[in-house]
Amino acid sequence: MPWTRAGRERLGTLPFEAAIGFLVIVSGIAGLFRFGVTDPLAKVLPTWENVTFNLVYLASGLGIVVGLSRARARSEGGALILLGAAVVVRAIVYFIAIGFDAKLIVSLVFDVGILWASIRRLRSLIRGEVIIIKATA
Amino acid sequence: MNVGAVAPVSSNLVTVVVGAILGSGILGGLYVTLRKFSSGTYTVIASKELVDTARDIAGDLRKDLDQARREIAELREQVAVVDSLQRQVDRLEGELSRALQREQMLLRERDSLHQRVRDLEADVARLKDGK
Repeated sequence: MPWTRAGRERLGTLPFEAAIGFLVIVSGIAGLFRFGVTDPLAKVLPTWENVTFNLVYLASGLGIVVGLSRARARSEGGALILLGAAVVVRAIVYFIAIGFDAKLIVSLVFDVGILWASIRRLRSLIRGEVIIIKATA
Repeated sequence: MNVGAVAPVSSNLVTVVVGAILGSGILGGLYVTLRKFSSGTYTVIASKELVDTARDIAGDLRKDLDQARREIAELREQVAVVDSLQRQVDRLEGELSRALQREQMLLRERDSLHQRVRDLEADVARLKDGK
C-alpha cells in the first residue's frame, strides 16, 4: 500500500502516473463535495450522473495509486480504463458547456495527453513489461 | 431542455451519451480488473548484483542481436545477387530456346527449298527430254 516503504518506492518508479492518480482522487472528492471552482459537469449533467462521474474519477485514482504501490496490474489496468472513460466524458461535457474556445483547447490537450498515456500504460501492463528497481539497501 | 452554451443539445441526449461512456468504462474497468494478466506484478525490487548481471546479459544479447542483424543483411545481399544471376540465366535460356527454334525453322525452310530445287530440276529435265 502507498504508506509502506515498498509501496512508496514503487510509486516512485512511475512518479507522474502516481501524481495523476493522486490528482484524480482529489478531483473526484472535490467534485463530489463541490469544493473549489464550479465544475461545468455539474451544470450540464443531472446530479446522479455527476455523482457517478466523480465516483468513477475517484475509483480510477484509487485504483492507480493502489495498483502502483502494490504492483497489481489488474487494479491499475481497470483504473486506467475508468480514467479514460472519465476523460472522454469530461471533454465532451466541457465542449457542450463552454463551446469551442481557447479554454476548451487547453483542456483538450491535457485530456488527449492523459488518454494517450493511459492507453500506452495499459498496453504495457497487458504485455507484461516489467520495471526492475535496483535496491538501495 | 437545452444545456449547450454554443450548440443547443438536449439534456437527455447528453445524459444518455455520458451514461453510455461511463457505463462502458465501468464494465471495461471491471473486465480488466478481473482478467488474468501475464505478469501479476510488474515492479520488482532486485539486488545490485542481480540488476548488474541482468544488464550485462542484456548488453551481450544486444551485441549478438546486432551481429545477427549484420549477418542477415549480408545474406540478403547475397540472395539479391543470386536472384539477379538467376534472372539473367532465365533470360539467356529463353534466348537460347528461341534461337534453337529459329534454327529449326530455318533448317526446315532450307530442306523445303532444296526439295523445290530438286523438283524444278526434275521439271527442267523432263521438259528437255520432252523436246
